[in-house]
Amino acid sequence: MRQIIVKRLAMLVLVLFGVTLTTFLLTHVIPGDPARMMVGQRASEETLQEVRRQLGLDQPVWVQYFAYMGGLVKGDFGNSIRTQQPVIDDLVKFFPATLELALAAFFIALVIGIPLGILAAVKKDTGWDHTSRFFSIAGISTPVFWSGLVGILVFYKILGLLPSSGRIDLTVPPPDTITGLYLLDSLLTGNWTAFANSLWHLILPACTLAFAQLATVTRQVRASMLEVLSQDYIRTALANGIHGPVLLFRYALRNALIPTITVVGLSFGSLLGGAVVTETIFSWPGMGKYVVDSIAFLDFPAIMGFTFLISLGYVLINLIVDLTYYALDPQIKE
Amino acid sequence: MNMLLEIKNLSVSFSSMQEKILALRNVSFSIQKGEIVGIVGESGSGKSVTALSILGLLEKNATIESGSIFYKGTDLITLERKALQSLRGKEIGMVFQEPMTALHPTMRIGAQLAEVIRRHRRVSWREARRLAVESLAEVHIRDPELVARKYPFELSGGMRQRVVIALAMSSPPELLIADEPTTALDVTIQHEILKLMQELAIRRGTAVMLITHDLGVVSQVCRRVVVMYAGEVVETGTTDEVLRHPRHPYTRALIGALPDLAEPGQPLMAIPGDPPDLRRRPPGCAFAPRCSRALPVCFEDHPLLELAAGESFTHYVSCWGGKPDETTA
Amino acid sequence: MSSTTTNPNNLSTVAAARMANPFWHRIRRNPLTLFGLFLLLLIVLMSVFAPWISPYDPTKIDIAGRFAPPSAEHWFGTDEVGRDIFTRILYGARLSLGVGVAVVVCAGLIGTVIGAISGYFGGKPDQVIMRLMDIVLAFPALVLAMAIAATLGPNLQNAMIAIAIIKIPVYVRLARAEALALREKLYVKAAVTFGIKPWRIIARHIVPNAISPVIIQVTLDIGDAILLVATLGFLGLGAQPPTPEWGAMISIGWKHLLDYWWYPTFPGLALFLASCGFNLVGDGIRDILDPRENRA
Repeated sequence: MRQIIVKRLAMLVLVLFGVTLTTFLLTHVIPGDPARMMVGQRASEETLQEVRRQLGLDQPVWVQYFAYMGGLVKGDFGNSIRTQQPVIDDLVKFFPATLELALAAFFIALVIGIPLGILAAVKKDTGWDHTSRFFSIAGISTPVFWSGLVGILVFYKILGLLPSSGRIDLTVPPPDTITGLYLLDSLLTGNWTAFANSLWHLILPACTLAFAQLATVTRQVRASMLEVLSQDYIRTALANGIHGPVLLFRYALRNALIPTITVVGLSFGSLLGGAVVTETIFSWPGMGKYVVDSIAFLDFPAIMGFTFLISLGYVLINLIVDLTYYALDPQIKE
Repeated sequence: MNMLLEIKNLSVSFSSMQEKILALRNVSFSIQKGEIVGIVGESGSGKSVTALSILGLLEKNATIESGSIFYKGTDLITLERKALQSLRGKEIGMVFQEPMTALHPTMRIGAQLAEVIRRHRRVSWREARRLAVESLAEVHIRDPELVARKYPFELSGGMRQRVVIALAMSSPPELLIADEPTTALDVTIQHEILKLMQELAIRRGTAVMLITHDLGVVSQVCRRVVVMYAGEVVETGTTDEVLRHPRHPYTRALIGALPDLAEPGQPLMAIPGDPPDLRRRPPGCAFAPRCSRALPVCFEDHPLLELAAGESFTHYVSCWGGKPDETTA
Repeated sequence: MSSTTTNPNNLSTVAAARMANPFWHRIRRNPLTLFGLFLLLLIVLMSVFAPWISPYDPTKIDIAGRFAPPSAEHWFGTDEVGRDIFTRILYGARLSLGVGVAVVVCAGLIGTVIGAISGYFGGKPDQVIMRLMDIVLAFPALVLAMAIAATLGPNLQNAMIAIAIIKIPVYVRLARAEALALREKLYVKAAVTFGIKPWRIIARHIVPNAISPVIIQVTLDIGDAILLVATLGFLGLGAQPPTPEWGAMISIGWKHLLDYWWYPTFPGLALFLASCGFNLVGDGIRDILDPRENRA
């Protein structure tokens, strides 16, 4: 097991190296004038020269790369052209909102997706199964921005049940900041108004974001469960009188979840991408909305800072998923 | 009442995309309390299908066309699902052919056993684990506590099959169905496993339905034997009478094909021809095309399973020419 | 009673049909796939016959008639400068379909070739290529596409390049897996000893074997590519207005959702149906080509 961890960490280092190299290429090498990209169209000539010097654009490429890496390690992504603040400060400010949205979506996807997948497997080839299949495919075919808009149309405009933007009503003061996650913070401080209000705001964006991942989870759980249920050891259990929930959950599901975890981990990538769009539609003050605003401004440092951080997060998530997989399968442990 | 299991005129078919195949045709036999009965036949003779039908473990594309399976007087076919589920393992246990895939790969041995034990008896988890270790010892596994903590992939085939037997016998059941339990094991272990099953059955008074293609095993362990061919029962009786005085040409051929009975230097007797294609059942006796003593009637009319002539009240055979002739087997 | 249930000489017509053309029969059995095919057909027809279906010019501006709700004259209403939305969706179908197919076919070709060669020859270059693919896959897809598109400049071509780059690694892996498996096969080894040139082996043995999974992947990827292009368009990184690209239309329309709901809703619906069509068909093909599904 230890060998596996070491191997995976080595891979991790390699991949991180690759990620930094890619972002380096995208910031320093590929753009026509990297310095101009960093300062924007309106900056003065002096600023331009200063940045040129800072980026070391006359130096050999590998020297530039090390300088870039040095900056990354310090968390220096330059200053946002739009906000004039260090990009890292901006991103940190907006991170909790995105985290809360992503976690909520992830939670919804699992809590609804896994039971649906089990249901579809158990009721294979019945109407339930076909419906869930269509639903899965519809889920991955739906553009996130469209489903969000339709959601707003239905639940805000027509039904008037849910709000269309923001994390919390302007009239409700947000809870004291402990984690930055409104739901958690309001629970911890016993602030029920804030809790209810932020939950109310969270539902629609989280469901919108969860939709695609939910479809993937359902599909994968169904496939894994079918695979597992056809195995000999399930037949042995049946022959010995094991049935019902015990059979499904203790015997079948735990094996069916193993490949599901891998798929869920990979689908995090689309979750992170989808967050960008969802935050835009719902004016959710997170990193996604920040980067979209930056795009409109051609705020290159912000865009690249965001790219790097999000990708870093994605790499780490996949590492955790891999390690969990190894932990769950006893055959590999030995 | 000594009758434990009575199968009457059981017919089972399988539907695939192309057609419907009749896998079992009017199968009838019975098993008494505590007796060890052998079900003999080649691959495709319907032995496993019969076994799976009893516990309701057939595939989704299988249909029970007709017949009954009486267990202690109740027809299992008409029994509702919940009642059947409570019978499984508790009253009727089953051991399958392939030990390598029979156990749950990510659950420890002790846990798998304890889970089943708790299903049959109201005991605590701790008690169940203790009983699990005990049952491992009963199937002659050394260091049962150690093994209980292991995963199946750490055990050999023979040991896994012992665990499977322990699982099936944990209740203990009234009837144990063993579907070719030793076929996938090394020859050296086969004998041990058989002896183990025999010992446990006798000790607990469990009846055994031993499915095998090996006549040698039958002669050692079984009191009665049922011979199946192409999904039908062709002969049945005590082991003694069937093996010493086989009436059905197929049974005779099976015995004749045993290497032990062959003369050194003589070619081994094989049965000419192939088993019938179950998609196209002939109207008469299914064995007729390969039978050296076939009469014209054998190809036209299907023989009934009747008492063979003689003094026995237990020897049945399904054959038009099943009457004894000059050449005794 | 029992021997008459199976009558081998009386194959029903259904059974006969099954055996005659199993492929078509399986498609018919799956209503979802049929629906997908229907959707695809619809999209293709829309894009091919766009000028004939609608009398309007997709670029014609009519300020007086802007933001008109759906009506008999304008089935899907008009946009902020009075252009007929239905017409723009029809022409947008050409764009989306063309772009989707172009991007994925390119990525598929390039990826398959690289993968087949890399897998066949193995060694250090193979390792390097695989690491490169791993790096591309280390980024969340949309995020990387955004970064590339932003770096190269926001327009449709660059968006297509960005998406193609993201899509390539899957095909590299697919083809490489085929190559690795086939490299060991006896008939390939025999071909090598006969002195047959590598490129021939790759072209005649490896690529044809990889076709089946590649086709499934391509179909599914076209659906995904259509969405990605539209998303980039929505974010301002792809096709720019006034191009009638569905995503670009929504990038303007969404701000008017509450007042003029039809503006973002219908292009989005078109996107959904297009993507759905490809995904349903791809899924159906996968079911048919997957040997495991043949269990009764």
